[in-house]
Amino acid sequence: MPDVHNPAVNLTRHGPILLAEMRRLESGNALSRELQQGLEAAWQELESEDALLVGVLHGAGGTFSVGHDVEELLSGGISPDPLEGLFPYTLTKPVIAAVEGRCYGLGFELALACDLRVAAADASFGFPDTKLAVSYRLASVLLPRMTNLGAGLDLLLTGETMDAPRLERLRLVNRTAPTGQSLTRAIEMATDMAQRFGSAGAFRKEQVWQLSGLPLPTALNLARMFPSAP
Amino acid sequence: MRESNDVLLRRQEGQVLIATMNRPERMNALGGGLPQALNEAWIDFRDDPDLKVMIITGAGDRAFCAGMDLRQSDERARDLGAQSAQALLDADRSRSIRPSFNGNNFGLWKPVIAAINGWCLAAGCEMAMGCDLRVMEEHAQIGLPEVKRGMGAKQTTHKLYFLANLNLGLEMVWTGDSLTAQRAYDLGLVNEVVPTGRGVARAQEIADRICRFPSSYLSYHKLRLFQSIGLPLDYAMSLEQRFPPQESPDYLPGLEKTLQDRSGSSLH
Repeated sequence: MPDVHNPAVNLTRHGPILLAEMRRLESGNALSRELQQGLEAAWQELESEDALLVGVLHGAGGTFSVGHDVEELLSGGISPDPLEGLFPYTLTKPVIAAVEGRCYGLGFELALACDLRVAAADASFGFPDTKLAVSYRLASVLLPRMTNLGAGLDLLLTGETMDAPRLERLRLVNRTAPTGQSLTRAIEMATDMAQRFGSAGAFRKEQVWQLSGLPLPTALNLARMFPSAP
Repeated sequence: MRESNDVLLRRQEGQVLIATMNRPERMNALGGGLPQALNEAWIDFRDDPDLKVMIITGAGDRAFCAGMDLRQSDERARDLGAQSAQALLDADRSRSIRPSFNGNNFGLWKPVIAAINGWCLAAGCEMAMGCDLRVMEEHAQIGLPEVKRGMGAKQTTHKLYFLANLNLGLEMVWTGDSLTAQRAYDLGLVNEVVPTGRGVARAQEIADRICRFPSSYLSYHKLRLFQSIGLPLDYAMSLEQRFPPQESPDYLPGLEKTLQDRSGSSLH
């Protein structure tokens, strides 16, 4: 795939790992159209290249993302709904979010749409923009599946922010790392996963995501329709 | 808005309605017209555009609500002859003691907070589980003792599953043992534990936080959280709900205010 330069996303490779860095320092990595397009392109690259197995997503400047780019929404007349390809849960290859600093609103949804989350102990998560009348369509579907309805209601309706240890207790964060160490830890995990699984098909990612939250008999029946691991 | 009546006291603080179940001599058990009064209160709250959040609590410090009033049901069954106490309990239950999570939810897509100020048992537990958020005073206990009386807690198991997890639902239903506030918090069943006597005050603080969001945002997300449960993932993701907040009059002024809020705090 041709490498189209996108100043908002910095892509680098570590063997089978594609590192995607959100880079909009002036706005706390707010998810502008350009940044969303850059991530969409990154996921296409990860998915289409056989040599790549795992993605790692992180933010420059010690923060993951503050969410919607409200300045752009005000001036640009564009929809606050994210681009179709922004969320990597639909890929066959897993993506790990390495979270430092703020992980808010649409940025939090983006982290939830990854397969695993490694977070700095003082990272902060939530939907604190109480004046922002937008719909978090993905988070309202995923939070009850990943943790439970009670925590989903709490996060979305109170707008309260929670730190990484609290989110780890809620099972929304998989590993907590010391401040500044989340990326290193995520790359270690990605390297281990790439070694252990060796091919995209072995992750059986679609099965895990699609069966989540279904009534048990339905899920067990559907599981037979997925191919066995290669 | 109807007046308070004796069994359910109502008080309005700004955009928040505080309802207190007031049968302390019966541990605020659901009888003596209380189920009907609750049902009216949920509907009045739903229909009042000036109200955004409701808090439900119990009078006194002994009980939030000890469940259906069994003594009263026995008396009524005797009076009516043929009907069993259980049938009467079921009839009262169908009067919708739960603000959320029952079949049609009355279309009540506004947040309700339970301030659990004491024993929270059986149908009282069910009511608390049917609220959206739970604040629990540290001395309070919550449980489903039905099994100890040879009755079933049939309405509650799926709620426990969605609010916490299947393990906890099974434990509570099969043992009938109550959980302390701390254990309920550790298991994710309640959102916060607060000192005795602080339940309503803390619930009001949370309600004030919720009130900062526009109504369009609150109803959209409550509806979507409840309606996407149990659906196949792709279908849930693709569901379009009516009245998305970005199509409401709240949207444009909200962008301006968000920009101000963000520029007022450091970004890194």
